[in-house]
Amino acid sequence: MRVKLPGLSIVLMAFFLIGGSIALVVPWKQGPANLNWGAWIIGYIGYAYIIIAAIIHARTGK
Amino acid sequence: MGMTVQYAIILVIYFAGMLLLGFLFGRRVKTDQDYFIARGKLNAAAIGFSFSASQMSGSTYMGAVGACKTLGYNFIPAAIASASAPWFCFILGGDRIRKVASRTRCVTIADVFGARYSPAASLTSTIILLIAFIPMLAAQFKAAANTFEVLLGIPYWSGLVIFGGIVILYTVVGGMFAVAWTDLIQGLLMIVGFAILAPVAVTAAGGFGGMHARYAELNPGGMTFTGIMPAMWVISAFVVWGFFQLGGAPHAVTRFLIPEDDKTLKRALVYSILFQSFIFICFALLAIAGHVLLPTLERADLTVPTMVSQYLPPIIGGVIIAAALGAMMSTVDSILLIIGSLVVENIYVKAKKGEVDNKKALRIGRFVTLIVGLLGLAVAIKPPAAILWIVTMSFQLLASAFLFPLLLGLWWPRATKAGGIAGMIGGVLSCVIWYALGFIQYQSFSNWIGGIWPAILGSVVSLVLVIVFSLASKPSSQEVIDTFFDDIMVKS
Repeated sequence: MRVKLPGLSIVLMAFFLIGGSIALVVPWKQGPANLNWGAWIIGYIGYAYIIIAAIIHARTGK
Repeated sequence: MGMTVQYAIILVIYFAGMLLLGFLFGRRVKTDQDYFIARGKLNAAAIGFSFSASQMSGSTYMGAVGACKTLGYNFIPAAIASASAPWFCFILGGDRIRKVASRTRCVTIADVFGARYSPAASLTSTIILLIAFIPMLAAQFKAAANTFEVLLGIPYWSGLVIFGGIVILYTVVGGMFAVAWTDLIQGLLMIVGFAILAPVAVTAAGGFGGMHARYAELNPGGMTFTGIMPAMWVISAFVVWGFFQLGGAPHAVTRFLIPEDDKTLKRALVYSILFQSFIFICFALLAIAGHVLLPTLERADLTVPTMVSQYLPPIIGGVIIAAALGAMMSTVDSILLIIGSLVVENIYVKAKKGEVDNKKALRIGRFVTLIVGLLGLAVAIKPPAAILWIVTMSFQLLASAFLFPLLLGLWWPRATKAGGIAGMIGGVLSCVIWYALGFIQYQSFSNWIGGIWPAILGSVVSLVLVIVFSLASKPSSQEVIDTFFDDIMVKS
């Protein structure tokens, strides 16, 4: 049995790195609590993404 | 009773606990393999927390919070990237390294390079690791002694002896058992401390919205990602502090050699990512609140200790200070162990052609760890400028050298000895050259041409060299390919 790439995780990682890098340079509208939406996503909401992605890998191995 | 005395009492209790753990776990160490990696003898929580504690280091709670206080949301991408490091490292490296380690009985990351590429690759990686880690050890001792000096008002010398003595002692006695369990306790203390401090600080700064409104008045450039730093700098930080930790933090990656089954490793990933995410969300809140509450603080690296002393009772503040010092300890103990294991397993045992009795190797392991620790302490008394320069670049140097030779070595059967070695050497050289060019242009080791981090350039050069040299050389032997890429024999 040859090694299998964790395909889903690699796609999620690529989205995180590429999407995250783009998110750092595009202009964002002002969001709640005196913070723009980019800061909300990268600074706070993005943690849910990496936690869920890690749990998906832990449960499925993909 | 004064605040300093109360801090001192808590620290004494804490340090005594760490020493006790060292001695308790010292009894479970029977061989050099137990001592350096405790293979199959640690649970998922200890592995996960130990990975995170080793990777984050004391600077996360001191210098990095200070940098984030000054740079605001320009630095926040580095925070979420750091939190994502376990996700990248466990998935891209963890299970592959664990399986290879279970087949080849690897004890160090240099052993993995040796098994995949050749003994020459093992030696090359050992040299690079020793060059990067020995100065880093001295720098961690220095940082801890400085913290003692500032927080408790005790002389630098005394701080060095107390901190160094304790961490060297429990590491020499307890090895990886003690290191991993003390890391777990230090991590739990940090969670408790930040869970108390972050809401207190945000409330004192005017609540989440009010705090940001005030921060925008004080530091408007810090409210966007690129208001202070160049866009390439921010993007580089976002990529390097997460994905690149696989190559840049080999002392943490060593934890993947510990578990004997896949389930433990996957559970460890969940512990690690939850722990780091919590810490870095609090980190961001504390940095922003810190700038609002302490706008004129001259030493930004003292943001957390200053907030602790101003907003928390000493009994709780002492726990946070102990945990911050514990974070420095967890980096020092991991570096001590990895240097000891490199010297014993990759130099001494190899020189003896593997004919070394387990108990003798254990005694030598402890002796080398002790000597390395004392050497680090001696250097930390007055570190030469060259050492501080190496420390500044050590993480980026390691990432440039190891990220792609390791990644492709684990996932690409066509990677060869020539590719692996060329990638390591080329990565290191291009990283050093990029630092030098940045220094020529800006007279600083922290500014780089175009804002591109040396680790980015070094890794790209390394990636190209691994691919080109591998395709231009003979494929690896079938035995190596089977060891690394055939999973039939490995427990999942």
